[in-house]
Amino acid sequence: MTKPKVAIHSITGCAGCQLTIYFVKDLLLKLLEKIDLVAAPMLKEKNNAGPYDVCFMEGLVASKDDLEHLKKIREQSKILVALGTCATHGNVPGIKNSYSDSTVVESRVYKNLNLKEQIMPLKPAPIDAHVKVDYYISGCPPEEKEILKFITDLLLGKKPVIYDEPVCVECSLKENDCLLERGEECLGPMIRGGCDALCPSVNHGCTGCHGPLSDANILQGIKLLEQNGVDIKLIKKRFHKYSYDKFSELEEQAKKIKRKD
Amino acid sequence: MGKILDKKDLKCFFEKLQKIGEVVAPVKNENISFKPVKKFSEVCFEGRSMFPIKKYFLPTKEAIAEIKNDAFVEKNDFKKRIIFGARLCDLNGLLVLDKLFLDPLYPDKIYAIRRENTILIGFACKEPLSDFCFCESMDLKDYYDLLITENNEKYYVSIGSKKGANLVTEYKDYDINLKKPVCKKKLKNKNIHDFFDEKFWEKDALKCVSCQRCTLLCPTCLCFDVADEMNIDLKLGTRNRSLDSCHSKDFTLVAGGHVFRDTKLKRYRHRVFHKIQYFKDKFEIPMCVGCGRCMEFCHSKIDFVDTINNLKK
Repeated sequence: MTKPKVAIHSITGCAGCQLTIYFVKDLLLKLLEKIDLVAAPMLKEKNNAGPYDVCFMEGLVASKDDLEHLKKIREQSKILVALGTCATHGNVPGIKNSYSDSTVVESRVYKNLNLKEQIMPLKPAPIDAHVKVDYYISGCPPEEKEILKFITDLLLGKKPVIYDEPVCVECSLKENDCLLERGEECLGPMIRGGCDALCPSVNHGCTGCHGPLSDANILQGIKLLEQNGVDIKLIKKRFHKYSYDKFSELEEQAKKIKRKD
Repeated sequence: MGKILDKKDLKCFFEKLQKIGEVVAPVKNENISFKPVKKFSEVCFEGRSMFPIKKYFLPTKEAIAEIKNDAFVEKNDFKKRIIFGARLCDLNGLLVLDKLFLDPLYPDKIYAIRRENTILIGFACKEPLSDFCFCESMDLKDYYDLLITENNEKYYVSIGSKKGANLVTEYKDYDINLKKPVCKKKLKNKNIHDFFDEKFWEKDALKCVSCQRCTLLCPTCLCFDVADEMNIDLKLGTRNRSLDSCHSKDFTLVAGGHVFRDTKLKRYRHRVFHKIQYFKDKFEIPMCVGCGRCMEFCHSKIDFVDTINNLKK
């Protein structure tokens, strides 16, 4: 069997997502026996251009450079995987979209707003705003076990299924005392799990680093948090920290359904 | 009819059980949870565990077979276990699980072995354990090996099986009628066939966040998923069985990407119908044992009993 050609590329982000892959430690060598890592600029000196069988794309589109790079990679990849919450949901840089005037943010960062065209900021957006994405593995950073399972499934010729259950599932199975029930702040019911309820298990409410569930009930989620005395402004900030666009979209959808009633 | 023990006897009895196998009992930390217990003083005699005892028969996730280079080696579990302190609702939950997993046509081997090797000792409730309890409406059966009822520092042990009787031969008999708890909450209608129309369930479904706690913490919810997980070398792996939930969107996901129960409303209604109606139509007993966990631990406190009680055409 010829080894699949795998690439790990990156645009605007902190590089923590690809580190998750490199940090599989004792498994990395075994993994490299099964795949041909043809491009990983963070790790390798020599990197091949495509075509790639699978490309993991980390980061979000925030500049013209990013966009050009992303489009080129998309053309060269059979399967493009959005890796990490920047790539899937826009993450922290996406908070900028909550300001109607982006220069409010930019003027705090740059002395001179007449930037060269290539680094001129674009509206921060997850990569599927610009190109077709085949799979989404969210997480800030994504879970090692999810990445490994994804690669193993592809190697076996299986169609990978990405976990799409709320944090509450793993949290309840661990028999944790529910933070929401205790009157605290936890975004668990609205957030995609897969993290084995890492934060709630150490008594810290979920802050939503995996981004919202595909069918999160946002209006009820807000109600539950408000019942626990969490200020609506803070709830919105929590939502917007990791995925401004998706949460806004889900909220709009929910309001439309409510209006119909 | 049964045996009578005082507190000292009960402690001795508990210590005797330790020699038979692993004793699991409710322990109170932040919440109540069944755990292996060595000391009598650790056992919590009040309240009810958040997670039901089904985890000892149908673990939340377990490898049911090992995969070694394309060959399957089935796993087994011959551990002797004593469940000490389950409530009658949870024990009746096993009656429901038995209907499926001990079905003579399709018995589940690993489940059957676990049931065979487990002794069930219950604690009777003197009063309902929460405002959500409605077990009285569900006609629970005496399904246990032994059931302990505390009354004025005396422990009345009712015998439910030969296995149980053999454990308490040396104690004195009693012959009084023990009081059963009276639940405030009642399920008034156990035939809901006529109420499938969406309008009855819409209000509740809007509050559902699909957290799945109602099914995961239910003593009778037994739906599971089986998936193979291979190591990265692609030679060794495990075939895993893990709890699933009808409240998950992916539960009815089929090849081609279609999802049959695509809304929270359809999923919520299906759960209630399965618990109260569908299972009963097939196996003669309802799937619900009236423990009330699905309402008590629901984030939005969706009360399906209330909804059913108010159903009117």
